Amino acid sequence: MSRNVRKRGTAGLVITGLVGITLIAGAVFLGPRLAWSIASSAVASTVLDGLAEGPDDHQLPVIELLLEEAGGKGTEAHMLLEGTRYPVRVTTPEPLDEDPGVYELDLLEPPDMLPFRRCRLFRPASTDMLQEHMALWLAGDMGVAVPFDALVFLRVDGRDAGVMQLREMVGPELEQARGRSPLAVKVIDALEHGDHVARKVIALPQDTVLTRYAVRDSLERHVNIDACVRLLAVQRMLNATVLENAWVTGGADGRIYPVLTAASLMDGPAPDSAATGNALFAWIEEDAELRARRDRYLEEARKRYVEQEVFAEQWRQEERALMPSLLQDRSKMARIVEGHPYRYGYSVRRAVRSSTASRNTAIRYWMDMAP
Amino acid sequence: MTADTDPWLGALFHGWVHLVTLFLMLLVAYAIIGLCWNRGFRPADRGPVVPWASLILGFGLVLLLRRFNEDLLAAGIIAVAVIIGGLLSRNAEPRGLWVPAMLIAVLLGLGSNLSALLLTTATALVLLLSARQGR
Repeated sequence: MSRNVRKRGTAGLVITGLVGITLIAGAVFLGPRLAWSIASSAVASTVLDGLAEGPDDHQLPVIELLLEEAGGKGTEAHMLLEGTRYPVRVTTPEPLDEDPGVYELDLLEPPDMLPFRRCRLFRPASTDMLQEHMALWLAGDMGVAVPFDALVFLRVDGRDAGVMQLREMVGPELEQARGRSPLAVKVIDALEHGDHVARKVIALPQDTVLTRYAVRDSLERHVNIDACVRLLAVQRMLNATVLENAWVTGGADGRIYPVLTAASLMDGPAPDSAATGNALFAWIEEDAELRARRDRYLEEARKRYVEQEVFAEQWRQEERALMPSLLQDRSKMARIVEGHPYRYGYSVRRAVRSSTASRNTAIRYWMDMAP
Repeated sequence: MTADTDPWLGALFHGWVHLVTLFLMLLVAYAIIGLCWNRGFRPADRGPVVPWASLILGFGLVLLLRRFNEDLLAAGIIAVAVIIGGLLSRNAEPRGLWVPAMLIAVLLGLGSNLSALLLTTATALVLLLSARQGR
């Protein structure tokens, strides 16, 4: 073997060793689980995603933000949605010259055909990108008021920003956007923060002078009790530990009702009634008739989603619409480790695997629910 | 590891693994066509399986195309790379392999892994089936 060949061989070994050391160092500093998760995603996205050449056209709505025209935060920009140009005000809390990953938009001349007036664009938090979206879909399907929520493909000033979640920001225009009422409503995060009627609603269940029927009559006049019962049923269906809801007052029928602002699937366990921390919900769950109604809603939902396979079919439809955009997304971003707050690139392989696991976990949970 | 350095290190690690993977893909492709090229020579006349110059040039091209993937800029980079590959084919060993090597790097740089795989296979087959006098 010539001297040159030996030298080259040694140099190659040294370089390979150095690369190996950097990978081991990464695993030591990040911890084996996180390092493995990041490394496997990086390898899969580099090797496997590149095999899908010429993916189909986007099936998700494509939104383009024209921010270069905007002078900065709070100034007017434009949003192109399926070819139509809408003037918007960008109220993103972070500087626009970096990629904030979150855009908050106010539509300045909201058209009737859009089901929202203000929205927030953000990266989906789950690895399959569908969990939160499907949780809100399920809640809406069970009759609870929910914000408009959709997966979209976002472009910012001509560059792909990838798959994002568009969610309506729940506000005074909630009923106007849905054509239910020409008037603005008031949205409060807790009944305690509302007007005297809302505070009275909170106080009623603790009134020891009134009979249970009298309390119920009074509550029914001020609160949409059925909407509350449905929300409690949704909490059990989603197996959600916390209900992230606000309250709408001054609506079309004059009664207070809850609106779900965010939801997640199977992050449970769902608490028992004493742990809800809300006097109204606790009172509802103590009422035998309302509890029975909640269980009936649960059973109807279980039949619809498991036996009639409505949930699985809806999930598959959403997944089919998502995949072409995910394959075209060069900056695939999502949380790749459950519970880890930071985001990295990840692969379509991970999205598909995680999507199947999430869907099956939910369906198995419902199958195991006592009828 | 603090909360401040963790995301930075995670992103760095992700990018680093991505680059190492790209390098390995290019190395494997070049090794395959290098082996097929050398099969046409007597053991004493064989060169290195993966010439360092083509590997470094090819990897540079992959990185450039991953960074600048706008249509016009990418087209310019590809044109320059193919011209350089053609010129090198006239003067440097392994003659005739520079252009396919550049094209494989271009395809990997554009994220077209399936095309790169196909081109590697086609090049390998052509090298295995072609006569030595043609090289």
